Amino acid sequence: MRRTALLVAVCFLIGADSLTGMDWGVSAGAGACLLRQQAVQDIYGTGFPVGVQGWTGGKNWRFSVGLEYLSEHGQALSLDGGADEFPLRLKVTSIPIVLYYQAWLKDVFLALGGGASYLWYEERWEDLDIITKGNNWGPVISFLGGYRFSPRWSVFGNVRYEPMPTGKSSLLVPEVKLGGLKLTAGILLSL
Amino acid sequence: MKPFRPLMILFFVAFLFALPRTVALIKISKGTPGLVDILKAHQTEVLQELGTCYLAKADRNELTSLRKNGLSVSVLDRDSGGKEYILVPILSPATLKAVSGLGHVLLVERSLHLFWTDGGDPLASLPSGIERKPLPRSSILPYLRTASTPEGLTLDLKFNDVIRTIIGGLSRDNLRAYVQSLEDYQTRYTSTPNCEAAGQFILNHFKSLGLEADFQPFTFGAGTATRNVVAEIRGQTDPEEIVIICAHYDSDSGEPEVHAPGADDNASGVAAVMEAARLLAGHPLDFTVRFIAFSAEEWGLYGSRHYSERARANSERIIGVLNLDMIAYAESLPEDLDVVVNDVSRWMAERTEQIAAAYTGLEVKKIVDASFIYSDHSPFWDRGYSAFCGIENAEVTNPYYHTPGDTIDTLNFSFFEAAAKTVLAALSDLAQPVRSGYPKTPGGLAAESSTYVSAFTAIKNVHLTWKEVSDAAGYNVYRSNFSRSGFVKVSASPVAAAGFTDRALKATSAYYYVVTAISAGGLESNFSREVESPSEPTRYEQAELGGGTLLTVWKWRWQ
Repeated sequence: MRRTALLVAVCFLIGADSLTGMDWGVSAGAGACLLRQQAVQDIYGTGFPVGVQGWTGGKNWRFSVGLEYLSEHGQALSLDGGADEFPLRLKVTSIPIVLYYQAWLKDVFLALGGGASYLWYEERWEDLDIITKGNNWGPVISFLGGYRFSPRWSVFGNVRYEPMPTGKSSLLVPEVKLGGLKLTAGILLSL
Repeated sequence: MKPFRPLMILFFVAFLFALPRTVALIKISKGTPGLVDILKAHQTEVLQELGTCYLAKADRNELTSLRKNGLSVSVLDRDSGGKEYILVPILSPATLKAVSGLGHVLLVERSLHLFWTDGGDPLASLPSGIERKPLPRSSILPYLRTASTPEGLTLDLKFNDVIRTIIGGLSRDNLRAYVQSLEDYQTRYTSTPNCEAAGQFILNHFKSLGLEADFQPFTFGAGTATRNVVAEIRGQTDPEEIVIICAHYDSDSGEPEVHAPGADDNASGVAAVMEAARLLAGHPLDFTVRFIAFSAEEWGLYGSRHYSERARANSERIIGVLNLDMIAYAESLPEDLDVVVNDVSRWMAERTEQIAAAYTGLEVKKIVDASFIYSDHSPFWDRGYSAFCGIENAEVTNPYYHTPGDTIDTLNFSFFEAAAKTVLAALSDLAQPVRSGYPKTPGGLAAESSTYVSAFTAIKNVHLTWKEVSDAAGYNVYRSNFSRSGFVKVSASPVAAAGFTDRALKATSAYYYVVTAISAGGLESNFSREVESPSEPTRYEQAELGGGTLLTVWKWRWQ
């Protein structure tokens, strides 16, 4: 235990020392989540997540930690033509952590990265007392492109595959996945 | 030669692959969670359920796959092609030695041996007098159930004066007369003319009561022809719902061709069936009752096998089968009646226990044992029907069993009468005599469900409909998670119309419903027939396109 604590402290000091030489930034964006699992798509349609990210990195690499939120209304699917309506509400909060390799062409940057995302989700049948909650890890693959139009400001576009597996099965699928292909755009501020 | 060597190896490998796959007889031990689901997923050809295991057929690939799923599987016979296997009880050392000389004998579980021969008819090889059950001809997998009813679920037993009247009419003298008549045939060993004559006697009795009755002919073994005797009282509310009371009328002994009186085994059971027919003939019932005397039980349950296979093929809705086999010998007094059931049929034993306590006072001993397979209830178990075996002692204690000494003078008619009354009460309870002054039982109950899914959960609304009852002021709706037991009223107050929707239930659970009619004075009718709203199966096949990897998502979206 003591050895682990020592290791963590050393890493923190080294990390903190290296941070001083790096670029830092924050960004905010919004977008759409496409190509979702069929059942999720049919129930909730296209998702529109919003989020903020913190960025850091050097010349050829970039590291981001985000906080993303998705809240959607949907309707339960009838499997056999039933006429009743059951409104649903889905909320997903995730923290995607991605490491990128990036290249610059003058003021344009392109980056490809991978990482992991931790998500909390809650689905509620609004007229009934049925709530499903959970949390899970999932992979992230991301492609980022942007344009720096001033020393401090950039715009970016992000194409990210983030399946958001929940580890839970349903009647329709062996594992429910709340994510998909996310297209987001936003603005980035270098600090 | 050398240049051709790779080609020869290739041909040899191809030859090996082209060889027909042998199918083994295997034993799959119980105990693995979700075992039935695994077997269903593999479409395993299950032939027999026993207390501790299943017997099944599988080729090498299936065997490997079952083992990979963590099942404990052992091979009983490497090549099952064209063989008939027969289950026999544990044998005495002398009999075992004798039988071993006739074919293969293998211990399957504590109380059972498996017998087979490499050629010929194994049944013909077995000496008479040994209980036996050939393995079913087709897979019983479709009828295996995954869930069982919890122990001791409260049953709503309504005391019924009509049932008391019915059993009050049971005549000990009649029982004695029926047994004597059957014994007088000297032998009722199937294949003898006397057995066929005994069948005719039973048929005549049913016909004399004004029942619809007929023979059901069949052949078995090497073409031996015989016939079951089947009579019916048609139900008034839902005639397609059937309760069966049955007993085998053939007999066996050390000298079966000439002298097998079979008073206890099983003139006693047949006499109870005949008396039940006499007593119920005058009473209108909600559901149909069939009275069946089976033949060729002693040869290997062939009569009941034939009947149950046809019943399943015709999708008959059999509520329960009350099989009586040796119910008149008392080892010591007071004797109790053993009611042997498998897990699916446990409700029948529990119900009979309650019935006995309420109507006759006879002690009923419930025995849950899927390995108790040597009587006519067993083929019904194989086809997924609820059935019990009523017997004086599950471990046979009658010293005259399968001997020429099994005669009427060895029977205890006091116990016999109590046992017959108890079974008759249980039969009446299931068939539900119509009671005057009470509203009619709602008929034609049907259930349809609408299923709704979210990303994670699925619910269903179950829509119930039934035929309107003219003298009803309203209806009560009852629901249970288990068949035939544990019903709880769903509708807080009586429902006015002949329909009801039970909303927002868990779609992956099965639910069972019955309804009753309520009169203006508050009298409640008998329960309607039971309907099931089955659990929704997973639909992965249809939905899998959307799951999985980016590639599959891409394919699904753009193809």
